[in-house]
Amino acid sequence: MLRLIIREINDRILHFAIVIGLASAIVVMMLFSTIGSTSGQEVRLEGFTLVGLVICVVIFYGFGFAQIQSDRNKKVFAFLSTLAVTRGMMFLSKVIAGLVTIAVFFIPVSIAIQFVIRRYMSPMSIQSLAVTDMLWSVFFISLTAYGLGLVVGWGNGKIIPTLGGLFLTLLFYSIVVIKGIHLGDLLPVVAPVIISCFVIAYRKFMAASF
Amino acid sequence: MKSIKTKIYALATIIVVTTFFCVGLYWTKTILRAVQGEMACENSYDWASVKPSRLLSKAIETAPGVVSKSDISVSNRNYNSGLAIDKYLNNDFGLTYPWLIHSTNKRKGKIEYLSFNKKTGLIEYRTVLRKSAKDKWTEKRVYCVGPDGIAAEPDKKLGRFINLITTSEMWINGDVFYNKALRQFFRIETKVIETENGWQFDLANSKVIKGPQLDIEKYDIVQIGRIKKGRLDLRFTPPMKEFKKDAPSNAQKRKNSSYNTNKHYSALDSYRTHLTDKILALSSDGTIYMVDDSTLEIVSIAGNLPMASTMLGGAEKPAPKNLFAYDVKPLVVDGEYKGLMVASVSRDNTGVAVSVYDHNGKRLTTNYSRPKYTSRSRRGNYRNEGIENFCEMPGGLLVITLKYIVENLYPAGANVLSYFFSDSFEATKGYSNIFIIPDSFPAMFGRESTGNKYGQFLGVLGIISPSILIGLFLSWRVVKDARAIGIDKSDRRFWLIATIILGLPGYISYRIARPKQTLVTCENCGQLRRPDEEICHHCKLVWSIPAMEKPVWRVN
Repeated sequence: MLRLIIREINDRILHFAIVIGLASAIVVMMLFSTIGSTSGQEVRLEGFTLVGLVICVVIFYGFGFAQIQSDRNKKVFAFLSTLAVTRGMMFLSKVIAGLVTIAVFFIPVSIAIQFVIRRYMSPMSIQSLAVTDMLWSVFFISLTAYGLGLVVGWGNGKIIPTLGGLFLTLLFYSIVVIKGIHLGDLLPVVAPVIISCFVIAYRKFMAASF
Repeated sequence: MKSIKTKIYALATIIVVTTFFCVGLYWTKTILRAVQGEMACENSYDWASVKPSRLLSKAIETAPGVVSKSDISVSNRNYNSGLAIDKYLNNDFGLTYPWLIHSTNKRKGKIEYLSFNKKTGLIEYRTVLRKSAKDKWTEKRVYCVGPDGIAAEPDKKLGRFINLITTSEMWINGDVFYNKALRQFFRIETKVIETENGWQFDLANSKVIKGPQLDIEKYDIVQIGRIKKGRLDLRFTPPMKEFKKDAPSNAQKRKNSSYNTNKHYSALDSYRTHLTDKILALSSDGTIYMVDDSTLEIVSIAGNLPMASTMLGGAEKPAPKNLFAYDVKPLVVDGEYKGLMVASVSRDNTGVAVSVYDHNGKRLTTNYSRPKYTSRSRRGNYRNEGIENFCEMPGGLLVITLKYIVENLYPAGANVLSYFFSDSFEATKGYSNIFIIPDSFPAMFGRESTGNKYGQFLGVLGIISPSILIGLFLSWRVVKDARAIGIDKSDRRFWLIATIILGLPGYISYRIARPKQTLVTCENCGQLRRPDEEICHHCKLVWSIPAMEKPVWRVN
């Protein structure tokens, strides 16, 4: 199982590098601009949330999509089927690799944000709680984008599934605009979609002919 | 087991498709709503005003030198989409609090704030201190306030606040707040003593003042202090004198807030639009009460929220939750309360109303925004009400038709729910709803407080009949297709119900989730059958598998 997960990450190393690079860029940008500013209040977390969320959505959608599409095209599934692994393990390794990638992005960014708030912005505990709430929202939206990527990756052709799926993902992202960034408002809509996406992806994975 | 798995998969597909479909329709409706709001502003007087204000005596209004009488006006020009992002972009998204921050210094200093701890049910006064930029911020709880007293640490003896309503500008000392569960007004009165380390709170002598318990039947307070919702800004312009004729002294210039250096200055020496010895409290039925700041008793009715005329929203009671925005301002001239100015915007954001009440709470007048283009509008204070007015606007009929078509693309189930739950949605929150459409025609019917309910429901069924017909037609197509490809009876029934309730999203879900096998001809009945099923779903014939016998021929 571990080897499968490592293989998944190795195969998506470019995506993984982009995610790490993006997380590092955000952390560095945030720390530098905060330390460099006289007031410490110039870092606009809300700006990060809205723009950063679009980037997260595109990257994680792409990650999920690539996991299915490229493995199908390269006949990796067919090859793995000949080895002593079940389809369930193959699917689980993909999802774990996806979750690891999302975590690799979110953990350093969350730590950096909390550090910036505590050190340079408002020391009030309720303010950092509100930011934590926002970060969870971004995480769940990213997870939805990843799940959609896993579903759309099964589509035939390249351009229509890629662009169509991306359009749908961005359309779903607009839920943030409709509902706001607070987890309490978002979760009732986002949670069923996340679960459904993984159910569909699992079902497609189990029923597909490689 | 197989059937359950299929149903879970089908349900997951339905959830995803319906969500995406409804988000798409939501944006279409939002664009139409923006067009509708813009049209309402363009084709009607998007403001309402009362001039003269009637709150000032004739002597002031017609004093020598007065060139312009006092005016109360409100404009609905700033279209508000009702989206949560609107709040977000205005920095009103939760990182700033209704709980005040007293003094802030960016890199060092002391922050004092009050917050409500939901776990303990107590209000906590906290300070955050940082002596220099090198130090860390240290947060400290100074005292806790419950309905039964003040103490340094949380204590059960202090009681619990539940459903607390605060004024929007809550000050640390002398704060008034209302506890909905206890139905009482409260005020924190803290004392301070001077010690060697500076001023400190004297908690032993500090207390919480309680008002009398309010009658639950009569009062349902929803907002206190500054009564306001949304971006609406009610403006009071005092009577103006011309600068040249009667130039004010420098002292007058400093005193007079509305002094205009170019042309005019206020004829009133001193006026303000907030109260100091009383607070306003808004009830859920739209009544505005005056509460005595010292006794914390309701002393009188100051006025009521007016129901703005609405083009599309249906008749409603002027309750706070039914209004898109409102703004209430008292007028105090030379320390004397003159009366109340109240303005509101209808749920559908197409009309504005402004009411004026005297110091006894008696309504003096109510004016509404009016359409520009009808002959009726020229006749006095004609209300801009009813869908026929909207249709008379240039392009109004097109917008209404498009709105109707879009609403009928929504699942029939969503339309029925919109009818039943139309009244339970707060006006602005309804706009951020994806599945239930509180500004739809069925919801408009639902909010009509008059008429026979059964008749209304039949009317709604008539309005959403295209959506029902779409659902029925598509469900017929689904069942026909499902039967042809051999989907079992319980799954067929599932898809039938789903498509009737959900309409187009149900049909799309079916097309996505249906088995994709290419059918083959059954050798027994000649009809198409599924190759992955053991028996033909028409004639129940099993596959004829040729026996694995040794061939009679052999290649040597």
